[in-house]
Amino acid sequence: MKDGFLKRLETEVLIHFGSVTTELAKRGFNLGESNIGFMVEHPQIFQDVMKAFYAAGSDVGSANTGGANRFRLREFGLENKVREFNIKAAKMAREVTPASCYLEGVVSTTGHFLKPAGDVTFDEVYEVYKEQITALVEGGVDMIRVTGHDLEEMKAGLKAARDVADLPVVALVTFNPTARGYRTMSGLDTKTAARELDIARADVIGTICGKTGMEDTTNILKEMRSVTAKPLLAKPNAGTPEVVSGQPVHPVTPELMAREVPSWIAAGARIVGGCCGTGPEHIARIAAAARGKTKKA
Amino acid sequence: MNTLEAIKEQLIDGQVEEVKGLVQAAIKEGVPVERILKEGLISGMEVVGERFKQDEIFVPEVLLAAQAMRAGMSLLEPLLLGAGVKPLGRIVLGTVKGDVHDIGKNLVGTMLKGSGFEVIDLGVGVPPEKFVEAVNAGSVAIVGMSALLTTSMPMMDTTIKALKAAGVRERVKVMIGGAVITQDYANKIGADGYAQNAPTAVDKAKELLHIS
Repeated sequence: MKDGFLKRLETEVLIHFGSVTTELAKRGFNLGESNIGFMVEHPQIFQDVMKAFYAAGSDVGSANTGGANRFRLREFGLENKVREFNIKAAKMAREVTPASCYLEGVVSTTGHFLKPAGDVTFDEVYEVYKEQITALVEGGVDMIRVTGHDLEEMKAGLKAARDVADLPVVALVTFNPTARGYRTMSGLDTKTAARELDIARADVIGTICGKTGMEDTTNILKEMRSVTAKPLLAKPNAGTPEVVSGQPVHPVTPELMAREVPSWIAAGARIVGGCCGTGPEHIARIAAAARGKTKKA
Repeated sequence: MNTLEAIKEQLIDGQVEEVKGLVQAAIKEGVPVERILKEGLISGMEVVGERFKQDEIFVPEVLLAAQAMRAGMSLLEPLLLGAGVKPLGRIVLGTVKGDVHDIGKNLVGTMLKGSGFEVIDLGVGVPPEKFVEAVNAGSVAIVGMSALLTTSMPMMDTTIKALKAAGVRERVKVMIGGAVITQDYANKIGADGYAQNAPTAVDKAKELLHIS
């Protein structure tokens, strides 16, 4: 499975998911609550959302477990549910993932900064990720994605993924435009990120979410490509939302997103998708732009 | 370099132990505590805020400088009251009900404390009643609300209405902030101020309270 997936990236462009959380929010999920808590309580809704993305053309699906590490679940008093929730989410996601597609187990930032700036150590973060990844692997995922903004925190995630299982590992970084180029909230720049994540043996490296627009994503990919030969991944959000009639509305339409896809591919992206605000219609257009033909839903 | 300049430089560099040692030395030297606070610690945090605003440094550096500030403050605090040094004002901060994001709020609290304000941080998921309760507890100059989610924004409106209903809206200035917040939204809900980032929040707080 692993070699097959990475081999395909040498010649093909695969389509990632949009945002499961955004779609859940359209179906009764309150954005201020724990998304995995909602998914576990409403498996039908979670599975329907995943099916919609696969039907729209996604090849790589996300079990949407980014918030399900011990530190983040503690915010909701759910820290004792790490193992249970991650296994459940992975299994539910696996049930609706077509045989020709791949399922990603996701670990994301803990929300804490590493010492000395913050209050947690590399080893503590490593253990938190190891706990979560062990459960995801048991639940049957095909690969692990580590999302973050801090290099050391991400390295802890990559190390845990490598130590727990022999699966492909994807590393996605959240950048914002700043006066000193694209930086994460911790100050990590695109080239250092790409170089170091390559050295830390990520199989796929990319950019996700943040205040970056469609063209910013192309720029980030180019900067990453200048220092790494690894396949790249583009997963931008659909823009900062505005509230219209009580609902968040993201300004980047499916057409606007799809328009930039050829540039992402030219810049080195081998997997393309979207984050917050990206729905099945966006994915369908992205898939069409990537493959040059319309995919039937 | 004199001791106060050294405190400032070491604080900017996030050197906790050095700042503690230098503040201790300054106290021993008989430097007035108000000068240690203002010319050593606060002026150091001002530089940190400016550099953060200009994207020259990022969140980890600000957090380190804040640690150095806190270390220095812990030595000064027992002496400030006796020296008649008062905070610039009391500010109540919280992330509104329905939202648990707090990195931005925490940075604002850090910068406000670093500028000489007293900060009461109510945490995250704070319902309107708790903001009202904090204002009723007395002497609050500013209520600062944070939210990251668009779906949490209406709660800022609800909280301002709760302050009005409790008859305490006129006692305080209200500031709001967060990734999806705009000046337009602040105007719409009758907030007194909006700031895009932590250092600008300090400027705005001072402006609202007519502090230079």
